[in-house]
Amino acid sequence: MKGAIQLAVLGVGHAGIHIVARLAAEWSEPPPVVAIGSDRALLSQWPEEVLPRLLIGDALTGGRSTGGDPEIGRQVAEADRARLQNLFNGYDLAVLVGGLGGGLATGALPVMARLARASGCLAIALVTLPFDFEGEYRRRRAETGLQALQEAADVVVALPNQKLFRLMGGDVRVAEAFERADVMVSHALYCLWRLMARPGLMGLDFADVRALIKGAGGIGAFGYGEGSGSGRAVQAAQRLLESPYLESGRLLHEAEAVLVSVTGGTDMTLAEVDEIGRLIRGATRAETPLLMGTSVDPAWDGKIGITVLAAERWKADSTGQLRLGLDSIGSPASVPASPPPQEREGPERSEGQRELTLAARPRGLDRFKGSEPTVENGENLDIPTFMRRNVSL
Amino acid sequence: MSHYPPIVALEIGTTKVAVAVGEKQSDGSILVTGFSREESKGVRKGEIIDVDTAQAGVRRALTAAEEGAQVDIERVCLAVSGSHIRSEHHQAAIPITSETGLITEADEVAVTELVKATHFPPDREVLHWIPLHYTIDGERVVPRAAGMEGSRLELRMLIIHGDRKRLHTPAILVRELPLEVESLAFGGLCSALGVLTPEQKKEGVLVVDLGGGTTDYLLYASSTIAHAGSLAIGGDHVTNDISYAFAVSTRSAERLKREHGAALVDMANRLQTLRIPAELGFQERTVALGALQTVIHERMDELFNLIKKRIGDHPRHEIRAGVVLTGGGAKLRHVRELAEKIFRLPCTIGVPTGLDGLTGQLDDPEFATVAGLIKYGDFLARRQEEGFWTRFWRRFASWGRRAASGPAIEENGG
Repeated sequence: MKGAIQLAVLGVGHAGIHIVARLAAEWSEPPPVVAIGSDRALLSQWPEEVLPRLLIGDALTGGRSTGGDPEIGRQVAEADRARLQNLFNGYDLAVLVGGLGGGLATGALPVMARLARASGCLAIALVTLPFDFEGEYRRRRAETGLQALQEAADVVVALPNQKLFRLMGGDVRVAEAFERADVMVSHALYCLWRLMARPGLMGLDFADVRALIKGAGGIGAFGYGEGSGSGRAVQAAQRLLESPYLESGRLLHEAEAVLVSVTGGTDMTLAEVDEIGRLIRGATRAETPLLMGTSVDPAWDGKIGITVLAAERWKADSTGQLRLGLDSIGSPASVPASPPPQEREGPERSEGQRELTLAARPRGLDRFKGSEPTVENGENLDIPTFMRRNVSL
Repeated sequence: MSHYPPIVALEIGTTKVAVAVGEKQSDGSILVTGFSREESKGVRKGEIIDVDTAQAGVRRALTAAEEGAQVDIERVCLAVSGSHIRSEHHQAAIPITSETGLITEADEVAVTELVKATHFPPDREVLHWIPLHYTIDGERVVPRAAGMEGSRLELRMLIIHGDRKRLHTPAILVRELPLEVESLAFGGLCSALGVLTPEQKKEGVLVVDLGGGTTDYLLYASSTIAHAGSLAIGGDHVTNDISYAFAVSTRSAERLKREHGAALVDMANRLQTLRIPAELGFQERTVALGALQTVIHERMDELFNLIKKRIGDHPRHEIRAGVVLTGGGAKLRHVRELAEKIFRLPCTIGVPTGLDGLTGQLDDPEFATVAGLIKYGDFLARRQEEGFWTRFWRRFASWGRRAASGPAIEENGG
């Protein structure tokens, strides 16, 4: 089994750079991020050691912005193809973040997505769409950009900013609205990265993630919820389910496959993870494959964050049958001191077959690899009973 | 030398492949003349996940049994298990229209066919149609109805069915050898046939076959099979729990389970430490006996409670013969005591009974399924031998008898 998934977050253009800057500054152990822009002044707002950056299209724009022209954005990326391509070396998964409607992200993201995929790296684009008040012109440019991006990236997750209004109430100032959107996206990205790169007890198999992304048919939805204090698990799950990006849970119900990442502190308990699993399971259709993973981060003590990526379409490879994976739950509190044994008695399956298995396997359950998880009343019985029952040894 | 063709029982289990060859004697008894057991690979939770590896083990086991029995195996009866196997009751009723109001054998056949017309989704295949009892005019419950009077005849049957594709995987594997598959039978039913006496079936008994990958169960209550099913939890889970709890290899975990495992914690010695020597990739470590047994206890406690929940509430007088544990897991220390505590019923360990010949080798709960499968194969052979009408006649004539000592078993459906 492959260990950590190498994931990089690339922020492109004004909105993307703000999000990755937040990501890099807020956490003591941030994911690998790169800020990519054509505007030298914008990039130099953050110290280089905090925010690794790549200035592109210098020859075209002279280190200034693209002026909101997607065509210039595209040319800028094409001009620096080689430097951009290098970014993807050694990564399994690139998350391209930007705001559509402007110049650079709208024009350059499709180019970058293609470069990522050419390097054998999966490309997920996480893009915001303009608020209504930003005007019709911007909206139409964003839509054109989204279309181009959907053709280029493995999955595009569009986050319409307008949907945030419902969450914020009417009297929020514009600057604050943008900032809140950035906070939400950066927290979600952090959780996703923790899950992939620093897997907890329930890691995700890259093959599973890949199957989800490859099968998603280009479109995904995204949700994030955070909770703190005693009822944090339920609170986080409720906020997630009420998340405007998921249209109050509707997109979750319609989703064909769902990836759930739960990030919590060292104090996160099995019961909490279990509760979250149940709540999310309850919001999806019973037959929807659900990949669930947890990660533990001391920085999250007292809090829980849940990130959901939902594929609106999902199809298994035509060579085989989809095996349903249900929510698997593990207790981060009882992780043994050393990694569990990973004996391979069963035969190694080929990559092609692996892609068909969409089951979250808590680590240490390799014994049951290749077989359907034993699930009774939403509980994965493959996980040792003493752990699910929180029995101390 | 018997003039009947040998009955060959094949079980492709998660832990082992077992083959038993039985030869029918002129006095009707069955002599076991060949037997073999091989490690099973490529099977998880009772289902084949790697055909080639599993097939190699099956081939070895068959060859060994052929040599032992001095026969050429051409056809086998195959036991199947897995969580996809379920059971349900179905019933149908017909009006009795004859002037006399007398129920005939033709009426019994008609109502049987009506139950069998039950629609199943195309991905399900019926393994067994088991007639349970007739109800005449909604009130009289009888094992057979022909010859009685009434205006409405109802038949209740237990239908054991499984996922078509998964049932066919082991059958295809066997056909590739190439061998003919005479019939498929649910492993839990075979185990019950293998270890139960007619008296136990009559008094009511729960049979739990604790396998390596699955736990099959079958409940006889009120002289009929009330429940049958399979849970994808087995000895592998116990081993995995141990290896996970103490970060030891599967091999060490298996050894700990066999040598020191118990379903109840030995409180007096719980602090005793067990040393697990270092092995490739794992450090040397010590494990407290109490911790080991706690891990096992939790798993077995959960498993029995799941079965208890599945079979539902039954008054004690319906299960007078209590619980019979069989399968390899029945050899776990104190598993009998734990089952008694949870089911609140007397509990015994079931070993194969009612066969002659190599019974010394078969005399182990692990071989309940193959032993029962030989009996099942014999049952089918007897029926095949009989002509069509004789078969019907005998079947109906013997229903009363069989219902008293356990239900008659129908051949494969589908």
